Amino acid sequence: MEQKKNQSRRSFLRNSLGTVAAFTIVPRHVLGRGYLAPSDQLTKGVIGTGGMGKEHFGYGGTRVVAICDVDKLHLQEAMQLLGEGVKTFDDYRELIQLPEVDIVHIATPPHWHGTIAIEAARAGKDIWCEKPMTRTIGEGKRVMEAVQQFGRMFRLNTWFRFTDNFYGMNTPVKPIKKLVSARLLGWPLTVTLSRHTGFDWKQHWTGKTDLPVTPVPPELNYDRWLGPAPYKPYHPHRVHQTFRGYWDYDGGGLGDMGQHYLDPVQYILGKDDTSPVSVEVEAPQQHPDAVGTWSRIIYTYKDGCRIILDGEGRDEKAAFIAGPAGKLYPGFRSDIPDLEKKLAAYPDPPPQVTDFITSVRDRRKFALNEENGHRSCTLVNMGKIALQLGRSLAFDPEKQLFLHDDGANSLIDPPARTFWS
Amino acid sequence: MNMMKKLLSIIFLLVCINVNAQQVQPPYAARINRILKQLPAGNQQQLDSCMMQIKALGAAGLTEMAVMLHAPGKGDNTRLQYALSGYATYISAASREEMRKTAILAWSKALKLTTQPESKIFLIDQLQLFGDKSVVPVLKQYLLQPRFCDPAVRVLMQIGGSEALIAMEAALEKAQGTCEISLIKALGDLRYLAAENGIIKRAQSENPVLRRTALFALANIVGGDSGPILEAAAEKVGYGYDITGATAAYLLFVANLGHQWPTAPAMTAATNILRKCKGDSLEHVRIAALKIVADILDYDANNTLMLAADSKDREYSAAALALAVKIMNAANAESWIQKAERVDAGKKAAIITMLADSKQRAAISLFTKALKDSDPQVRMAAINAAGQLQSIEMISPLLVAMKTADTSTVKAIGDVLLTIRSSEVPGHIAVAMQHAPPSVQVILLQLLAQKQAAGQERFIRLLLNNPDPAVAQAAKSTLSAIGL
Repeated sequence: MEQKKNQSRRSFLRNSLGTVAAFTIVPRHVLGRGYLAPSDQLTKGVIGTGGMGKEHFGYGGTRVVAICDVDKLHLQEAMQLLGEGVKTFDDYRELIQLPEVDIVHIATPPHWHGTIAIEAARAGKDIWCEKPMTRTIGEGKRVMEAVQQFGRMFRLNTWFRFTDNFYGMNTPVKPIKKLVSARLLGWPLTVTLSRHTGFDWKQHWTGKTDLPVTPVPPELNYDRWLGPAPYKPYHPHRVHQTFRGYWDYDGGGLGDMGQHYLDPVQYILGKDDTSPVSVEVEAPQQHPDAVGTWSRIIYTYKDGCRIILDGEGRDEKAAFIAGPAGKLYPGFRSDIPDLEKKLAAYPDPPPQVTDFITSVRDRRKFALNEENGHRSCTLVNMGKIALQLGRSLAFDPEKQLFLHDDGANSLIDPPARTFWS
Repeated sequence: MNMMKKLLSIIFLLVCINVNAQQVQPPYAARINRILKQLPAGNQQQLDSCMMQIKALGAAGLTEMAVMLHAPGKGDNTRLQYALSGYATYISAASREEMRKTAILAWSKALKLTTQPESKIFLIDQLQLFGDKSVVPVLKQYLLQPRFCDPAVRVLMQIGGSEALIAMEAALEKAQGTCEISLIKALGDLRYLAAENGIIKRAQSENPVLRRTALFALANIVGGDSGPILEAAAEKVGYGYDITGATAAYLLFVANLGHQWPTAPAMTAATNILRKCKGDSLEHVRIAALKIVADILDYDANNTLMLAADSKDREYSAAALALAVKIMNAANAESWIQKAERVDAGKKAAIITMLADSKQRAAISLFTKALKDSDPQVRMAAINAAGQLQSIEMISPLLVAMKTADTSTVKAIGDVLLTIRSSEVPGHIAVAMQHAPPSVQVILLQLLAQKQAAGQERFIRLLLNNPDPAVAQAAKSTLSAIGL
């Protein structure tokens, strides 16, 4: 077989950075045929250039070299932002093949996340994926396997477990994690996510039923937009800004905000390597296509810890975290006297790799990666399945299967449409 | 006459019974409309009530409801969809088998009666939730119809079992286009060995989509004839990435082969991939092959991984270390500890990080020694390792290392000291800061402030009159922060 003589661009950068501190520009010939003359930035290809994709063009330490979208208008708008020199595609597989792309950034609707992430891993790319990580539990498991099989670095793009104030708590997660790990609130804990504790469930992300068949606009490759999702006749409400209202592509407010809210809670509770043993739902009946609203979703872990998603804000006095020894309210208020003083005596949480560029260059797992990301996305997907079925479910966190419920298990990894035709 | 009277009485009785029955059970349309008016159910009780009413319709009533679905644009299907999918989800729960049987009869009949394609697809889709082998004869007629084959195949994939597999294999002989691809994918995902030969024929198709689907199907089936075909396909693309997924399919085949006994063929294949895939652009392929080897050897893979960790290719070396974490035990840890003493600084730092990730307390002496290493990467790895292991034994060595460290290292050590779970941390800091350089004293005082270390008041006060004004000020601030 033909042996590739040239180093990859990323590998060259990594090795050079270790020895040549002043390195900034390398002539094209040094890197060989087909490679861009690089700066010391990693390069990325962005797949999905709608609102979310465009927001991430300028992430520090990376440079966009290629973009892909199935909507020509999106591509044109993106090109205006990025200028000349960026390659454009309407098929993600062509972008993934580019040797000059180090990182594939997946900013498509969620029903595409799993498929693209697996292909990117197979092509040897590191992956930055928007939330929710995958639309189903089965896809999440396969992404995890592919990333680890090919030794890729994976970042899921929600960040509250390591930076920024955690919504209503008005503080980063670190002191909350420290408080919970110190067991100052006792154990087991109940976490409530509602508008009264600072978490808006965006229940307006609902779908419409009985959509009339509408002609597909010429700029959109609708078949490719659907990809692995079952074929449904086109209607503008299915795509772009309103796709979250349909089960085939996402899961309403739970799909949109779920991983933002639940991932840090999973981290706080120390549940990164497991899943709940049950999920209970209280909700109006759900339509098979259009996502509806819901009242409550309650997850229970084996040790008795619970996470309550209160979609109606029913419990006005709920604490964010309640335990047998104390409660924590929004704004980091507590009924434990001198909490901050007591907390000071306890250790900080272990450090995390919070810069994806460092993760890629040093080959160190990012703080929110394919494993813990899959687990927090499983929370979202368990909730979606229970809502769709309208019943509470028992779950085996090891096997990642529902217990005694074939209907629920049929939604864990429903077969995808054979989309590439 | 008597006979006539008796006959008339019987006829009268039958008429009465019939009228009565009609009063109890009005026509299906009326009953269905009454149910539809109650949907969507607002809560569980309403849902249960509606579902019981649907159940009471029986197979004929359910069929009538299913064929009421309108063509798109010809009427609002919303309530019917709530009813039908609501019932499909309801009966998919455990212990509702009898309801499922009735529903399958109804759905099967409705699929024959419904001519509208969107309605057919809706009904087929619902079968994913509750279909069983008894719907296979109904679904197999759709397997060669481009409009319906994909939804029908998806249901058969959920059902599985020999009936579904035989039906799909039979259909594959005549299938073309989308149907052919859907069937191959399903037969592959369900690992149907009998389909291997039929799929092999398609593995060299000029159509890249068909070729790709066939290659992955063969990789899943792991049949005896597929290995050379998959290997040749991967060779043809130089083990690189292409849209047929030839390399990934071959790796999947070898990984699946590794789960069978004997494992020697998989080991040979994976080793060959490692040998053939030179070049930087194939790092990820080598990593995948290495993982297959490691998975087969399990805890015995340590020597292989130690050799792989020596690679100059950092991604490959890092992957070897990540795989080593998963098979770590006392014996393997000891081997890595010894290896760390023999390798260059970069590798040593990486091994220290790996041992810390796998929580190897046996490596604490290595970490402690590494705090004095001449290489900053090694020192930093050791500092982080102390935090990872929550190592009380390393508190004093960390404080000693702080005295000669640069600013960023001092900060890193400070951060690590804050992560160690021990009540002894403030006491060690208080003692160590008395003899530390002024810049370090300032940091240590800040740590005591963060720890609210009131018990160390005496040591903090000792620095209030320090000749260095920064230290004196820090001591004052610390006492204030602690509330003393």
